Amino acid sequence: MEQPKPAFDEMLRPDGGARSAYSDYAAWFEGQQLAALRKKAEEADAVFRRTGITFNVYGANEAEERLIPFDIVPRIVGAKEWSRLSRGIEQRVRAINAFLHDIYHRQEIIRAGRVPEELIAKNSAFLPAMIGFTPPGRVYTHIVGIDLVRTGDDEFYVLEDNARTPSGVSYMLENRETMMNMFPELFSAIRVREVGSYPKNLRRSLEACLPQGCDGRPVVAVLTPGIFNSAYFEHAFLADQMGAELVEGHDLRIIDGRVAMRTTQGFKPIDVLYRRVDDDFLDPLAFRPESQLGVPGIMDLYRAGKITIANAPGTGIADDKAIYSYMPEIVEFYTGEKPLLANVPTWRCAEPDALKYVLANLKELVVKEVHGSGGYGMLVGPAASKAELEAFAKKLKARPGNYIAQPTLALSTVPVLTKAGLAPRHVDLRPFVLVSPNGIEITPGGLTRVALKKGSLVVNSSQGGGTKDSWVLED
Amino acid sequence: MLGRTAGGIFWMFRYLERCENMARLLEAGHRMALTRNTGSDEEWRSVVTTAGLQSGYEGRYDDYAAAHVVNFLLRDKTNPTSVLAMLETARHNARMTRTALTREVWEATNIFWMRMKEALARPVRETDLPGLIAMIRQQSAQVRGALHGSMLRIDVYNFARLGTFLERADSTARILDVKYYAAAVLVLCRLFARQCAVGDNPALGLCRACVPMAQCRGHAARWCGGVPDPRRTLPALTRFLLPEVARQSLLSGERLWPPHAVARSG
Repeated sequence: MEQPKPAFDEMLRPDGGARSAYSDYAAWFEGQQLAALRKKAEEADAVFRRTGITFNVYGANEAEERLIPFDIVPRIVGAKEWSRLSRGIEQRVRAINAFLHDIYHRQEIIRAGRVPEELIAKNSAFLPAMIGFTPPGRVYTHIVGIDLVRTGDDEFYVLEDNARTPSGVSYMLENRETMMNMFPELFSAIRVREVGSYPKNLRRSLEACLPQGCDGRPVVAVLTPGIFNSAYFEHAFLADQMGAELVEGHDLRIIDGRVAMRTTQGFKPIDVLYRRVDDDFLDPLAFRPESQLGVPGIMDLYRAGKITIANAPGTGIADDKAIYSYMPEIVEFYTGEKPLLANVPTWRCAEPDALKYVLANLKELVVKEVHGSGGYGMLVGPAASKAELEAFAKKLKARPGNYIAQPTLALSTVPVLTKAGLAPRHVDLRPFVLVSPNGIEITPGGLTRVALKKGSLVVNSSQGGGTKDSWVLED
Repeated sequence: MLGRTAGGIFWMFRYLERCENMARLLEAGHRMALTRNTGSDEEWRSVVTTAGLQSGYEGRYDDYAAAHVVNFLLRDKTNPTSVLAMLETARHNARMTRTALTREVWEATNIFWMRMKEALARPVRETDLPGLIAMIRQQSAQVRGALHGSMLRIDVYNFARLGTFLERADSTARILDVKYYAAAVLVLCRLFARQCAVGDNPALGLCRACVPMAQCRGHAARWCGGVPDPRRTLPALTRFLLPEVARQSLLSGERLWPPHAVARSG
């Protein structure tokens, strides 16, 4: 696929010299042998396999576990860029939490006419069960992943907010661990901000959101859908690192008005549940009745203040793709400031003029389903065949309200190591944000996803993307 | 610890033990098949019977050819207790209880599975069999070593040992149950020879297990040196070994088992 204009290369200037954030790394790289680096890359693969850092692919025949390809060239962000970015992220996350509180209480933003009412009322991510209820510590999104893309020296866009159960943080941690094992000399020469305290911070942050009646140290557990879930490794990893129990729905039961887990010493009550199960499956009595993954009756206890659920149910209304286009208004409405991070310009296909434009320019646009996730149900115009475009246009006309469209951004590139040496590939960045009553904490860096195919813009691991270690340099 | 975790750990170690026993059974069968002048089919039939897989096997094959038996026991997809299938189940349980295991134990189990999956990707030829069996023994020892060396002596550990010993008791009972005495004796000797080896080093703190086993080695040496008379030795062996194995299982291993009690019972 041809790019309309050359993408921004984060490592190299057009004249071939290294940009300042990469200068130390580039100097080190000069002294390396390609063959030796290739060997290191193979070693890294073996380490990931042995450790079992794999993900399951939905719909694959033998439920095969796959490895997310790891590239050994780090993605480096300078200290100044990062501090600008993190201010923008913090502002956005603050606004998201204020929006959620408002939307489940007085709905001022709708009264003010900034967000249309039908967008909320008709949205399946809006949970009536949350109306009038305030979660412990007034925190809705305990963990947020903000997907950022870069298009120029100082141009960052938010591509997506992940306010439900963002995943990928285990890769951020394991990637760093692997890099420190393979290239210790790099870390003694270059001062990179650490990410390893994330699990400890996560635990502290969750504990700070303890339910009211809880005295003593809260019992934290991670709720997983189980071993066949695509992110199971991460659930086990985080539970292990936090020193929390990893529970499944059928380990839990309501005993004496508390959610309790069945242990070899009897039932033990849980105070804070970090759930990695979608809202729909959380409580068969409140949501999908056939769900086996959740706990019958947990929503009643939640609303009675007996347990904290992280993230709170109903946060999906804040990261829905239909809401996304209103984020600049939302940020301004709740913070009283101009948004520090830009949104990607977005056409809401529900609006007739926008739909007309989108249909006419389908070949240049990326079209996304509003409730879809992870690159499924998405059309990348420039990469699509004529037949695919026609089929998608039909879907668009049938249910325009189901889609939004965005221009194809020239995502920045970072080099990856190939057989022939370094070659640029498109990347995005997902920093992880923790929210507690004590404040907002952003882990410096995050998960860099990289499209390994030349020219490809799809970075999702389910579609052939890989990851990189992401460095934020010390001041 | 969660009840589910306890169950997962127990089954993980039962399956790992069964894998190893299966390998030892194959080893014994192979050795006997090689040392017989007449056809070896009878030897292989006894192996399948001892493994308790006769009906499944006969649903698939009409004969007891070495290649069929070996592949059936090691890697056949229709056999849920093939070594490969059992390893998959053991690893599945390990993944499920990942947070209760140390990284060492998990990795040893995962590597065991990875190696065997690779080694058993294609049909096994007779030349490969000794190497494969050695590999299974060695990888089992790695998991056991990781368990001993890295796990706290808490409930998780006890459930792991309980799974191991119950499975060992079960397979010992099976072997004794099979009428083919010679096979039973040989397999038993091999099964327990490894414990003698461990017991030789009292510094490991495992000397409690070695007292009866050292005697077993004495017996083994006597039987293997001469021509064993199954009718005479087997009842003795049964009297001697079965109560010990059962006791190991019930008391969940060394921890509750003072050495003097063992010495007396010998």
